Amino acid sequence: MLKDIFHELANDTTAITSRGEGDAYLARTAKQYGLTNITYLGINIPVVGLEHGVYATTTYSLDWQARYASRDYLKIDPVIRRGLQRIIPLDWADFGKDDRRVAQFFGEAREFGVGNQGLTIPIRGVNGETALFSINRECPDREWLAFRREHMAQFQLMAYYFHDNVLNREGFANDPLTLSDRQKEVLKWAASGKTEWETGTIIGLSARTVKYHLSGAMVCLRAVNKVHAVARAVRLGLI
Amino acid sequence: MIVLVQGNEREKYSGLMDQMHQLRARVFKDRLGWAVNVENGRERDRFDDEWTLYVLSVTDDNRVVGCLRVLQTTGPHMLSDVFSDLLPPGELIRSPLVWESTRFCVDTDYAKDRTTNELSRITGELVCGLTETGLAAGLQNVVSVYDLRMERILRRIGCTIDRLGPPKDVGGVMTVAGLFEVSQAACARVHRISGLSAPTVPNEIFARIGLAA
Repeated sequence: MLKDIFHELANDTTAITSRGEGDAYLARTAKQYGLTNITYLGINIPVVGLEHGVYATTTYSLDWQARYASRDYLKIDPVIRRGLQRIIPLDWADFGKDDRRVAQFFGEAREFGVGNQGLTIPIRGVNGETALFSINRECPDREWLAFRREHMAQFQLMAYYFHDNVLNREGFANDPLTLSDRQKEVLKWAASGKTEWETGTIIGLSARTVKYHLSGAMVCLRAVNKVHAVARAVRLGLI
Repeated sequence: MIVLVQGNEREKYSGLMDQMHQLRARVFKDRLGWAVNVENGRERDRFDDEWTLYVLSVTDDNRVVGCLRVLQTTGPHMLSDVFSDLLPPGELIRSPLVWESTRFCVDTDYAKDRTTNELSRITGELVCGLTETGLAAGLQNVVSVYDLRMERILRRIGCTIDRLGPPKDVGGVMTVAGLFEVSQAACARVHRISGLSAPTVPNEIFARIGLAA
């Protein structure tokens, strides 16, 4: 139980109040999931002072970052070319098969510690801003596919929460934190130990719908699991 | 077969996309009489933008016989921007694990000319195509706005739909917001009942969009 709480705190993006803490969060998360790297690249972030509205934070080595910048890799990086304007996450497995320059680029990346596997989650915000959240891991293909399948939902949430945190930190107000009556209701029953099925029976909804509302509450609260959601809701005085 | 068209690939699939917009005009304007925007025989609205994902049912000779479009609920979408009345107050959906599906239609003229099961097969293929894609993307749910006729059709092919609010009259059409679970079991059920004989989204399609299994 105590270990769970520690995990939640470590994963809590709402606790990030500075860029440095954001970097630490990425480093911690990379270690927790056995990733070689995590990168967040925000574009058109509507905040005064950000050059071209670009906000980048990454666990890539400084050497790779320097190499990337000096070789102007932004122009050939297929993640950026193919990652935007799509909602389906992008696996890096397909890159480099046709373009020699791209194959070289990834070969070089590996020399600088970027894992052989990669996944990019595109984010499209309500304010016209976009972001790419990428993770890298060093492992064989079969293991990667299983890993990706198991954690895809978590990475989707992570990407969304981190992006939201960046906006908040940079002073861009987001949707206010309000739970619907249904969300409060299912959270309260979850807090008192009821299963989704039991809650559904009590309030007259299917277990599927209860699960949906619980998930909605979690996302609204930027929580990583049910326990975290309940804790945040109580702390914020919402339930 | 299912063809997935992502926002940044629309030009690559311009032929299929054009067929899709024409099919939508025939179904939603001509057949159902909805108040949709049709120009030059093509139906499109502001939710057909650079980010929209399209799931198309395409015959062997490249004819689009069914389609639906997908938006993220974290961005602008119909339930939040147009049909919010269909949800109880305060129940807006904003989650990276929930997509919205709209403009679901099947070319009934094409289906009519074939076996009686073709309509079910195409409908089921679209649903499974969407669900399999959602599974690969880590989704939990798909929400949708549809008329009661469509709700009946979907239930008949094995979809388990939970209503998110009571049906309401929208421009003369009884409309409702519904919830689908994205799961292997849900997909398998539709697959079986609608008479599909092969995996809906072949791995080559997933590989092309960068999410091969």
